[in-house]
Amino acid sequence: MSAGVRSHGLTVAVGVGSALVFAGERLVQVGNGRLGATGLGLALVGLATAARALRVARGAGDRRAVEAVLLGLQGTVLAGLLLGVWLTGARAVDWPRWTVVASALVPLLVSVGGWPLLLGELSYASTPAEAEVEGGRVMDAVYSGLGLAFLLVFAFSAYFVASERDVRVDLSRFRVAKPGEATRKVAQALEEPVTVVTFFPPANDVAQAVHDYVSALQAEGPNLKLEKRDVAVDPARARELGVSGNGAVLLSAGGRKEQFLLGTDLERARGDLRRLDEDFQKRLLAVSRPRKVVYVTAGHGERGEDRGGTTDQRPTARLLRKMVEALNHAVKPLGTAEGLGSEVPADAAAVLVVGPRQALLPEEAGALGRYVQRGGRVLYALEPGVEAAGLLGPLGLTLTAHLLANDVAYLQRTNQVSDRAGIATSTYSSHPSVTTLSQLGRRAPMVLLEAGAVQPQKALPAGVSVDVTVRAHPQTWLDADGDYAFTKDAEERKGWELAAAVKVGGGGKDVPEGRALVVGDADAVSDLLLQNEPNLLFASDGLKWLLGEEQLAGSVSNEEDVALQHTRSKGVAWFYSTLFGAPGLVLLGGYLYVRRRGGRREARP
Amino acid sequence: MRNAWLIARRELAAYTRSMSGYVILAVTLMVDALLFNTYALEGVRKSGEVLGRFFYVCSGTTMVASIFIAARLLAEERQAGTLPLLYSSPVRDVEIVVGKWLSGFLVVGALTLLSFYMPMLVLLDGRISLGHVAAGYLGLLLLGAASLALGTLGSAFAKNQTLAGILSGCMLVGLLVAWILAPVTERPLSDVFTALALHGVHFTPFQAGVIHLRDVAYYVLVTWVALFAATRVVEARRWR
Repeated sequence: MSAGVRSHGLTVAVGVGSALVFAGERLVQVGNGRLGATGLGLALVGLATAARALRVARGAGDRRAVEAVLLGLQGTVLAGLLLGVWLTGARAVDWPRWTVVASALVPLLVSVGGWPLLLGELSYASTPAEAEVEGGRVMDAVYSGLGLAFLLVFAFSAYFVASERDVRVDLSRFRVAKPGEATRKVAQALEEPVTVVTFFPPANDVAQAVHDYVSALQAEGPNLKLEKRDVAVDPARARELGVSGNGAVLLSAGGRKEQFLLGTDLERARGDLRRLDEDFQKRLLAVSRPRKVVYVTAGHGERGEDRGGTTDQRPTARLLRKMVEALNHAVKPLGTAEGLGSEVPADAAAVLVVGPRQALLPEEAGALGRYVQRGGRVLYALEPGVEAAGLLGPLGLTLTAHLLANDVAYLQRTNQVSDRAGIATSTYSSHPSVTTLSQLGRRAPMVLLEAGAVQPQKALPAGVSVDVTVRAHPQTWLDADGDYAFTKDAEERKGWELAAAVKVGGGGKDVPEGRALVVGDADAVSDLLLQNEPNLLFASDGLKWLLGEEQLAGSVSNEEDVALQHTRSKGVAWFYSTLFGAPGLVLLGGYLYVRRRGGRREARP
Repeated sequence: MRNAWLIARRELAAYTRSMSGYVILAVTLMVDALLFNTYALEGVRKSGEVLGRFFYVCSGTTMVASIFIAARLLAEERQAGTLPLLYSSPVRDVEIVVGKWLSGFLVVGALTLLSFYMPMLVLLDGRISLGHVAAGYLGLLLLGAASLALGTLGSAFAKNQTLAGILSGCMLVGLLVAWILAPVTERPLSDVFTALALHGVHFTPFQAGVIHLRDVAYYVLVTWVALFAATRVVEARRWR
């Protein structure tokens, strides 16, 4: 290296000093270590600046001018460092407004001082000691540094704005963490602020998925707030909310709190993320709505969480209970011992009667009838052949004793003629209890096993209105002779009534509207058939309508992607076509193009 | 910027008039295909996940290819002694840098888009959206643009192609490991590392078919800053 003007040691000292200050303030942070590193750093920069000032005083002409510029830049860096030290010190707490300004100024000053100083010094140092300094050349370098510094400041600022005002477009077909229609409606209907507090370490994939999900929900209404925390950084906030580690999502509103754990590892959390919408909706409902009690009748051979005994092979109704719980309602049994023989409990939000084998006592049916009359809500999922006149009569309905059968749209389960009792339909009304099904139409065929027809009476009781919500396929007949074959003159093919929504009263201000949902097949809402998405939607939207939450009707977003599975021969075909086919074509195309050009060139005179 | 386009065309011609460019394209495609078959299609996976993994492996090959392509842009001219000729031509420094980068970007774009048949194979048997494919390719192009700009900066610094490759690789790795450093540091440093991470934070959403304004802004800004810095380095001959 040529003998330079030998001031680059000062710039190196500024660099080392700045690094020491950074280490003291940001890495060590406390105690003597911080004091030592920061003190030494500031002293180095301060001494280098003083030395530069001496050089300015001793210099002359262009050299003096260049030294003066470099002194200004060193001073700018020093000012930035001092401001940074003040910012992390105790005094900054007393000046909260200035703290924000200083936070932005520190990197600005250090960058605007540092980059031109570095480039200016590089240019200055290349001047031989005995030669005259070319001030213009050094200033070119300083301006280059200034340009770079300002661009960096602009780039960080622009990125900050883009992050804060982020716009997100999801083009994937199966959004892993996308709010479903039902959850969006819950978010729209929030009446009080709900805060979602997420605890994740910085730059975490699971956090990204959760934050994307919550951000999408925030667009639905103003009452959903997102608070991003890290247990390591905010241990006090974590303790206050009862969170012990990162990977947790907590929802809170009006003193109610609901929490669920996803973890911080994406691979492990992938399964939970697929169910995120379902889990989130459940917690959101839990914190935003008061918990009610839904009673399930017992003591008449109803479908329960477990089978009634070894002889009872009927599908259970565990999922239906879980759906009720997911809507933030407690599920309790209701039998004669719990008072069903006299009155339905006053705290009942609804009563579910699912597949009783024996008829309910007249007193119990009477209690349910009176309950609906005074604004109660009841789901009747009944089997044909079980006496139900006492239950359905006051609602203006009858349930046929015979099964419905169909030889066009049915489930061929055992390849026997009795399979015709497993009927499928996609004929839905526009009633709110089948909102989603009516939107999906033919794409959502619901299945019923050994169903009876729920027929409205010709003369409905006073104050009762009936809407048939689900009708059978038009080729369905009521199998009166029980042979699962259509008997032309004795039986009739038509779209029989499979489910009905009933409203009772509600005309006066003091008497709320009673509601009942009646379906002529208990299997339709059993665990067996709720695995069929349309049946699930029927139960889900039906329950929401029954509980007066029909505005929440809609599907929950769950992943429905398909796995790619290949036969061995197909796998081999994929392998070779991708590995050699396309690259070979590129080479062939290139060869032909190059050869053609070469030929053309040779043909030129 | 007409001069920049002329320089880009001149550079492109070097690729297309000899077999070397096609060999680079074919080899990159083969690597992509090999990784697609062995990594993306490994085990029984859902089609969306396979597509995400495909873009993940392609991001690696795109970055590596960008560094290799960028290494020769300015360093080769310097090594061959033709850089002074370019400097003496009536073009501005910024046009030289942008022209060189543009030619590299067109090559990276071509080798990225040529792999399009692989997502189409996934589409045949799976359930993916064309939007997801488009988002993934947008991410790859942005990542390629940024990596290439960093490579151009490295090439502007270095005296030969090897050194250019090493310098560019170091810068790229520096931005890649920011993602690893972010979880082990504290705020505000962790926020800075998160913001700087070239792949972990900003490319992952593209893989999943999600486009964030934040990520697009990041790649555009990295490209801009790197090209600006490369221009300053080229200009430095005036004041060094």
